[in-house]
Amino acid sequence: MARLFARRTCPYCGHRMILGLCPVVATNTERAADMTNSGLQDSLPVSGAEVLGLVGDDESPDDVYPIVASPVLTIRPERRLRDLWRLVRTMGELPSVTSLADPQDLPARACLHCQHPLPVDLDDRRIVTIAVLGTKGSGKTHYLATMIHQASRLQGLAGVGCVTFAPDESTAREYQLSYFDPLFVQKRQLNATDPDERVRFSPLVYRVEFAGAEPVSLLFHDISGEMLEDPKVRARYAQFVTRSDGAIFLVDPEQLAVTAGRRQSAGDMAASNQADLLIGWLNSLTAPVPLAIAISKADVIDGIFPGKYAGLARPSPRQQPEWGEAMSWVAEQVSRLLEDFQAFDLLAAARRGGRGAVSPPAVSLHAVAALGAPPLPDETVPRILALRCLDPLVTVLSRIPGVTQQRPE
Amino acid sequence: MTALDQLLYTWAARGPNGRSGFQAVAATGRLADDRSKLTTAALRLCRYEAPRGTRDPAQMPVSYGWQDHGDFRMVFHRRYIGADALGRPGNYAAHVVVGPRAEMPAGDIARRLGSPFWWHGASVADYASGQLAPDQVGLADIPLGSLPSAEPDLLAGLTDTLLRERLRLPVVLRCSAEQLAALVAELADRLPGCLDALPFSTYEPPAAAMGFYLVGICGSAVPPNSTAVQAARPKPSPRALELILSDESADRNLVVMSVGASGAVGAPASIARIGPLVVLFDQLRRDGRIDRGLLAAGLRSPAAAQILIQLPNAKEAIAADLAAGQAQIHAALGESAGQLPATSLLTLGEMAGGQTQPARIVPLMAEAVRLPAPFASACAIAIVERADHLPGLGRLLDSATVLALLRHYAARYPGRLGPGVATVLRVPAAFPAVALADDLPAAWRGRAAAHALPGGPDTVRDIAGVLRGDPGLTGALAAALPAVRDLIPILSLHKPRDLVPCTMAAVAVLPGPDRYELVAWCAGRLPASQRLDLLLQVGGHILEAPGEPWGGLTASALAGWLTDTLARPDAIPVLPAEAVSLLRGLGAGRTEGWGELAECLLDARSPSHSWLGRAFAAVDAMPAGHRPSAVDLVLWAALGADLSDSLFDDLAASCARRLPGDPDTGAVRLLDMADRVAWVTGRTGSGAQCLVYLAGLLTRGGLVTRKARRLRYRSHHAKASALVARLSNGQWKAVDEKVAMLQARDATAWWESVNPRPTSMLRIWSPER
Repeated sequence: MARLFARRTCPYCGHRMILGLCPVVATNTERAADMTNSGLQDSLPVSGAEVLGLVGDDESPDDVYPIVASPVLTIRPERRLRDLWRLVRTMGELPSVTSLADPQDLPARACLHCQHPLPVDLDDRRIVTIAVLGTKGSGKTHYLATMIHQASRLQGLAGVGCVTFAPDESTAREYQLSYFDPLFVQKRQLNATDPDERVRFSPLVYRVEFAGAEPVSLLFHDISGEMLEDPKVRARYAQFVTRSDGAIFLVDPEQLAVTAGRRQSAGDMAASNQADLLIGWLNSLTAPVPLAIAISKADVIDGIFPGKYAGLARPSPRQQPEWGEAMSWVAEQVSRLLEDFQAFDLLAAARRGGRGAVSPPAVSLHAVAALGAPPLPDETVPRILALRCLDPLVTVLSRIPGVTQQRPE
Repeated sequence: MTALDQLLYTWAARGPNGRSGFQAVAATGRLADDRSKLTTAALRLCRYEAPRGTRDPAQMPVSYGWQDHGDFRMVFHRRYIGADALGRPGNYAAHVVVGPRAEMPAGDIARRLGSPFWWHGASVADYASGQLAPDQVGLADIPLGSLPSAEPDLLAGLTDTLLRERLRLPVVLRCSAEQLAALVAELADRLPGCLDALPFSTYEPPAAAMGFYLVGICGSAVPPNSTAVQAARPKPSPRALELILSDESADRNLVVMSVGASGAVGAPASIARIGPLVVLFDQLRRDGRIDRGLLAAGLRSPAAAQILIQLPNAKEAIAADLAAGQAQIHAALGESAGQLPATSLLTLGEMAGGQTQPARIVPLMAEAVRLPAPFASACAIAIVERADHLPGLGRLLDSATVLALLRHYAARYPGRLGPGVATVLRVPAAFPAVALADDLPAAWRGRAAAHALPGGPDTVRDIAGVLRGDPGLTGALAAALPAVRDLIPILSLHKPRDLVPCTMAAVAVLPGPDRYELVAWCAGRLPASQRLDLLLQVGGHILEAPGEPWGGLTASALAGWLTDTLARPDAIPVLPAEAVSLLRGLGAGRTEGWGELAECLLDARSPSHSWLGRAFAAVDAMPAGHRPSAVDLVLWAALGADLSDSLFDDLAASCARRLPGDPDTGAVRLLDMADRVAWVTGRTGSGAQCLVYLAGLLTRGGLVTRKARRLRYRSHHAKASALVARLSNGQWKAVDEKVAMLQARDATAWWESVNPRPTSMLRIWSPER
């Protein structure tokens, strides 16, 4: 259990805070009966608990949370004795949110900087954010859906010592409704991701534990390419990509083919250089982080370079050491492929991203295919044959200190 | 008509800024500024999440509705349009129109759902390149769409849901966008203005539904903590619902009036208030028995309360319930009272106060103080006015209520002491609260204290305490008591310093004999020195009542004052001018000689033998006890003037005759007064005469000396020495010579003993020698 003065970094805004100074808010709310249009923020905890204040964005009335317990380290003048007694009883340990507020309100600590409830795991787990980057249409959403399917549903990381890879409850529901059901049950191509200012507040959270390592909470965000490509929007609404502990950068081979003149652009669509996004992101980092550059849609490469990279369309072995050897071979192939696409700026950025970083090298090259084949014209995906989707994740996780093995003292 | 701003949003292969992706492809007016908050708010509405389980784009519902941003209303029309240029599904076209809230009423917007005005994602490239641009439009320029007629069961279900007291929000309906818009349009007609402030959308995914109040949903998912509308008319159907859904023009008018009376501004609680109001007005229309719950519901709305108070049967019912202490009615009135005109509250208060039973007065006033002042005031006044007709009031009222009643009454009728007020003041609980309430008229407070007087010694002590804190109240108390002798036991508990202010307050209101009795009693309680002050304060009242024996009292007071004055060595024994005026006012013959003496003293500048005769005649007219002091007064007046030796001898002889005891007494008196004159005025002429007189008296054996060297008492000897020291050289020389001329050994010895200066040295030093 965390101590009262334990410090954590808000996974949404990056603000460093003391847990004991965070109020507890209800995330299970209902609106006040006398709600008016100008007062949409009149959220009430479903338990009917006393509301001590509100946390949230006034301009997003559906994202306002009532405070149901004051910060443990705060002594309110009007309740001095009660608060002091509450503080003394903690004996220096941080009380759980369910001991401070009614569990039916689904209480959570809130970050007073970004005005949003924090993940409940923040008390006793390290938060690790993995950014999944790429330009629009690069396949981030499909990759996330398949990668999580393999890691969580199929427990694909068990072979490399992962003993737990499980979603939290809201993530499980969201993944089921928005990703698994349409893609794996209805066999439908997923929709393009909408730009969403609140994307930082809706991560997919997975509790992960490797044998012998500390348990962590992995955060993934499904962010639209439009938001990533606009540096102003990225800086305002997606700061988590610059604070991430690791990143998977998806490179769309079809866009590379258009750039290299091997394919025609669809209509009058403005093409964007994928290296620009990678370079922009690398420049925004304050410290190097493990980066996996993955060619997405590996299944279409054979159509662009017939026969030359046919091996990239084969799945990886599931056990070591064959898995590791296969990854090295894929990295070599991808490096050649990028040279064939004349994506030397991308390769240079990849090399720069690894310079001065942790050892072993911070940048790895991969080739993945989330679907295994392009969707049919009716937007269906009759058979999903995912290729090496876990490779970038495993590589990145293994290079983040303390995630897959005990952190060195 | 204000021009509305527009914004078009979709996935563009090449947008206005050259990029591909979801973006605003065209905008007008304020929405063209991408840094404005209004634009940010409009862009937040540009989203569309297809319902789960729906694959056919044609089945995707239109998301149409509005949300307010400050004073602006943002009307949105969002429609799924299939795949983007990259072949990904999930593309949509959003059209947002922004204008002033006041110009975009709910019903008018709802009727424009099917309008061809709304953009469906056509000509994106033209808009993005600027070849096409949205036009400036007003609401009237947007053609109406064709809507189906509202389904009766859904309309009944929605109306019933809105009329419920406790709502779980948002209210969700599972129906087509067109049907939902038709329902809103129909309801907006029947309840005008009620839906205007409620954010509405024909379709939202569950996660976004919380931002709306009325919202349509698709698929099986339901937003958390929401109220789903049942598409059925509830059985039995509530009367309010019947009336709202009725197509009779009389019923429709009744509902419109109820809406107006409810002051509904779109908040669900206000809409819920319409139901009871509709039923209430219906009952009033039919002149039926008024249900208390409905009455309370009506009273909660200021507008409805105002109407109700103007209707005789409603007004009487409200007043009766208020008088009977119906908590529901009190609470309801409390909610709206702050916005009711004072005249309405006065009417209600007057009626409630006029009807209440004695046993209900205390709770009624306790509840009335929570309402605005006009109600409580009218209520209290009505109660006080009829208090003398209410039996058993004395044991029913508590002090807080008595105070509240009297304060309100005093605010309207300051000082009026009618039978109602008198009855309230007789209530045992009125004392001491009323007596202590300095914001109440003094007459009421005094009367309250007077009524409490038979209560026994404790009450007398309490009243005395009250009077001590507020002496002015004594007058009111004295006026309220039957006789002054009832007041005296109270004042007898006072210390002298507290007595005079109370007495003076009482003197102002008492009749002549009582006044004399009180002042005489008070003077007797005061130290002698203070009695004259008391009488001088009473002064004017004394002169108004010549029939009372004030002269003796004045004479006694003067004697006491003089005795006290003379006891202080530096005091000047001169009658105060006010005292002289008082004596003059009392007239000759009524002051036991003091008046004559005062007149005489006024002529003391040039004393003569006749003056001395008149002065001592006045002294002789006084009671024996007053004479020594009076003699001192004469001595002071005479010694302060330049007396010839013969006049001095006459004075000394007259003085000696009138002072009782041995010759020493008169001589010492003379010495004392001469010394005082020298000390206070610096005039030592009479002192020299006095020393010569004493020496002569010694020679004649008129003074008892001790060892023939000094006067009997050491203090007198010291006083003579002090007097000698004050003499000028000339005066000393004259005295010395006169003593020497006496050729008496005792006189010379005494003179030398009182003389502080060595004679020889003086003679050497003296220039005359």
